[in-house]
Amino acid sequence: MKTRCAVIGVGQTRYAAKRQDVSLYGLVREAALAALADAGLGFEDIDAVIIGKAPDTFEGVMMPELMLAGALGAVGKPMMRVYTAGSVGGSTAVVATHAIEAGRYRRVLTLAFQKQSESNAMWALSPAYPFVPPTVAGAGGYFAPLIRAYIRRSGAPEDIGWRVTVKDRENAMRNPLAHLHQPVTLEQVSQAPILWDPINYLETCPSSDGACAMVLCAEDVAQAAPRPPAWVHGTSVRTEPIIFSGRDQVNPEAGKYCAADLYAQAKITDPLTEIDCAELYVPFSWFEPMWLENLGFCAEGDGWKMVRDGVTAMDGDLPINMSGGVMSTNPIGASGMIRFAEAAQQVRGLAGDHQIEGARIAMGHAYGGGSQFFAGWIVGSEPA
Amino acid sequence: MKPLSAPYQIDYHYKRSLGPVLGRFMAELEQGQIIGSRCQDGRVLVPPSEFDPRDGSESSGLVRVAATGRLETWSWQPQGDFAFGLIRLDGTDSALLHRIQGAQASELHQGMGLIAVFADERRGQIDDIDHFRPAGTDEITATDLGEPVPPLTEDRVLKIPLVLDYQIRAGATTSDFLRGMARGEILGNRCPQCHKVQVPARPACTTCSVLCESPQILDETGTITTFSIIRIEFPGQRLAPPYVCAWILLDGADTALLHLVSGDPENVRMGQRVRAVWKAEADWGPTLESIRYFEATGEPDRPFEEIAEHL
Amino acid sequence: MADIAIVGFAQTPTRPQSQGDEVELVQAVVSQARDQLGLRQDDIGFTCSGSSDFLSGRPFSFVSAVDGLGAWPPARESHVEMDGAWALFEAWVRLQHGDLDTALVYAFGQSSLGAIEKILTAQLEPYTTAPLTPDANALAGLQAQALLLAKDATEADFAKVVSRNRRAGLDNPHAQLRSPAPARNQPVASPLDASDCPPVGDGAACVILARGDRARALCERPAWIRGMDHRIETHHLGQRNLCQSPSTAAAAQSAGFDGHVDVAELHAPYSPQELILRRALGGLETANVNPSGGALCANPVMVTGLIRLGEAAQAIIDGRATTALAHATSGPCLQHNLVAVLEAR
Repeated sequence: MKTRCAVIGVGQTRYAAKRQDVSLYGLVREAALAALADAGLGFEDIDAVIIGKAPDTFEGVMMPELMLAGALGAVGKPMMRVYTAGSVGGSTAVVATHAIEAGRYRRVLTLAFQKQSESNAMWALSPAYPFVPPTVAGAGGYFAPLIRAYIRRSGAPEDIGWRVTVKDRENAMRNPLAHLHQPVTLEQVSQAPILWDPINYLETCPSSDGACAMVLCAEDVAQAAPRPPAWVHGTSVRTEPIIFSGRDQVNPEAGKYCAADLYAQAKITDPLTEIDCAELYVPFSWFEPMWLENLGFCAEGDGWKMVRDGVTAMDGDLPINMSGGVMSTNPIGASGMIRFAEAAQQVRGLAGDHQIEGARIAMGHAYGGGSQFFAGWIVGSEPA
Repeated sequence: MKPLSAPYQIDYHYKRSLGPVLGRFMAELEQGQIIGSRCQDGRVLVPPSEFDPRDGSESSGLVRVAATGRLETWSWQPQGDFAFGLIRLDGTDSALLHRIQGAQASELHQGMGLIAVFADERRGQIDDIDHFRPAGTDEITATDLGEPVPPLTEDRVLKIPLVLDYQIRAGATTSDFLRGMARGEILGNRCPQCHKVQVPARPACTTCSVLCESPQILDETGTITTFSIIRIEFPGQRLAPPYVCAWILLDGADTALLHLVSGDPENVRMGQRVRAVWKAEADWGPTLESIRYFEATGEPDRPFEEIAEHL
Repeated sequence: MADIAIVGFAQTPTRPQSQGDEVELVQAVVSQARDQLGLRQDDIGFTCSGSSDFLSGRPFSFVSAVDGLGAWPPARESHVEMDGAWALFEAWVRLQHGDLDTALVYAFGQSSLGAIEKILTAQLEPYTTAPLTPDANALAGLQAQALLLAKDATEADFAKVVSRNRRAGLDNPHAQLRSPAPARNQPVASPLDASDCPPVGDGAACVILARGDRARALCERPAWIRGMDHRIETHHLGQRNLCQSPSTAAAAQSAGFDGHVDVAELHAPYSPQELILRRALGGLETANVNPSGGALCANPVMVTGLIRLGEAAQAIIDGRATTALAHATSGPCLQHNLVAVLEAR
């Protein structure tokens, strides 16, 4: 590693089910220009542009970096497009971080987006494709059996999933950019129709349009930034196959490796006490306790107790998804980068109404595929 | 044996929200007019852009432009009686890609005067210009730019189809597995390194990255490891909800298979013993759907500890 | 800059229709590349791949390809929805970080599953260009015609490029077309003849990178990467000078190209594009250009660029060259270009 990397600019669009007021250009520029303004920079200051998003069939544009080069000020510069399933927003930020740390670039604009309203996510994710076993109704159909297995293994009561939804929707009320500004009560969640038993409608993420951008830079640039930087203390990606004998899909090894790698880099020995808050990729509410265990914030089987005891609430010891999380905003390809960016905003002290007072160390996390692609970073208010 | 092959088509009408600049461009096309965008350095681009692609800077405004221009380069298309061409509209600084008709291939030349021919029925899309044709000298009149035009303030969404045809081929091992299904056999295969049996048969062991042994026929009985009850309705659904999708660990296999389970969803359990129920032999084909579903055998459930490793 | 080299390369033969699916293609090249160096997947520090969902029309096609990799124990792994050359770039930057000393890069592409020249139309901006459905041949035709109009080349020059590449392809067992150039009597999109266009084929490739002493231990004569860079241009063809490739020139300069190499592998799917690239690069008069036969003899889309890097490196590893240049392209009419300069030390 030749230099430390820091986040000096974050920009996000307003998120909504349908952003029909903007083109794809307008959507990505809304986030990119906000991130540049935050960093006090212009496109002319950027060395490279690294973008990420999930399947191109969502927008029906193959390799959209080609059409977006001009919109993101990338003409004449290097531009890349990362794609690692649902974790892509996170792994895109990791690729950008490495390029800074390796000394390749001094300032990188990294951005992830998805405009799901251009098509239909259910269709785009589960086409009737030849020779592929018939799908089981999108992502929910895939993950519901894993959640059932988690509940069976941990003995968690059914209200845990409801509680996560209530918390995340409440948190989203403090985030003006969030897609869903609709708080719900425990009673309402418990009465919601079941979609993929055991997952009900309100335990499920929405489908959103939006983009998230960050300006990452080398240490010397960060020292001169107009607003406080978030310093990257560690990044990691891990992948495992979607199926093999003895695979633990509830608590996947790849997620554990990713966390262990992060803690080693950030010199964290007790994540629960040393990490002030985290943005985790929770597309179905039950994944909050599952990831708490997978990331080592508690012993296996105890994640649901942290939820029950309010540890992950805004005023708890380890607030999770202060922004409202994926449960309130989900432009799939951008959701991972939003987690990373929101973690950065916390340690910059710029998270606005959903700021955790005095947050110094925060985690951003993303996963994708059949719980098999993981990306994470740990950021701090001070250099590592 | 040749791999199995089947057609597949992407056919989707994407809902393109256009934003203020392309929205105005399409609204003007509908009126039989063309607009461009002005960059901060004064260059005028057609089609108009929200930004200057050279540096990403905001465009400074929109302006009406002439429907006439000059041919820069072209490519005659052998399938039809037209060429694609790049046409620089008079007074602008970039060229527009469009079709050129009404001339022989040999007549096309650089700098040739062209004029847009608008479609009779227009709906605010690039095809509202049906094509460009050679312009008579008297038709090239105003080469000046027209008046400024404001960006569109209301949302405008254009449905644009994307149709792509494919002929998909299954891999060699997947073809073997699917042909097994057409014979009423469930084929798995063993990794020579870790000795685990995967089902469906796969070309390589996903963890050892070595080729698997030849497929073997597996038992039709197994155990439900975990499951979901599908209650949501969605387009293309093959069964009426509610129904059960379960991971089933076949006896003798080390990876589970996703399939349907018959009967009252409320009676389905983790650890439950099930057996495959095949369709009538005449309906067997190279698909997992040759098995209609799995049904309970009535044997005692396997204890949770025995399946815990397969979650 | 850290000392990083290409130490191994494997490719499947490019064929009109692969017998295998993406898992079988990937398993074959990845294990061949690892085996020839005596490496196992868990010896690899970082893995990165390139491919595009649109080739098969299936979302997440790269996810099933991971089944052929053997990502166990869990791997540091990433993917670009681009030609594998860009995956190699990502891996090269990743190794410069310093904590890892090997990387494996692979790419796969089955161009035969659909009409690839029509599929590539989906790369065009979807508002004013893609709806007109110009296919990849039509766009390359516009570029070729622009060259003729600028008097930068003649059709005879196109024919010479085809004939030289096809002659070279005769000696390449991995090439799809292994016959001399045919007569120019099959017009495609004017002024292009069928022989100016790439064949449609399927394939996969794998390159292994290593740092410093690890590279020297794995390979007798590593192909050291002197430099590598890439640049993108404006998307709208009407806003570019199609006769030039400033992005190639800028990438080459940044990669440390000094005007002399023994071998150059240029990713020019259409013969006129080789002329544009040669002019942008300059100084290739004495180089052996495309000894593999290039993209005109084998063009598994999303793999062709990575093959250029692999072929250039293999020329050094085998002692056929001391310096080599590899180029990869992406997008319509050479919109995005990558250049690497390799050398023996």
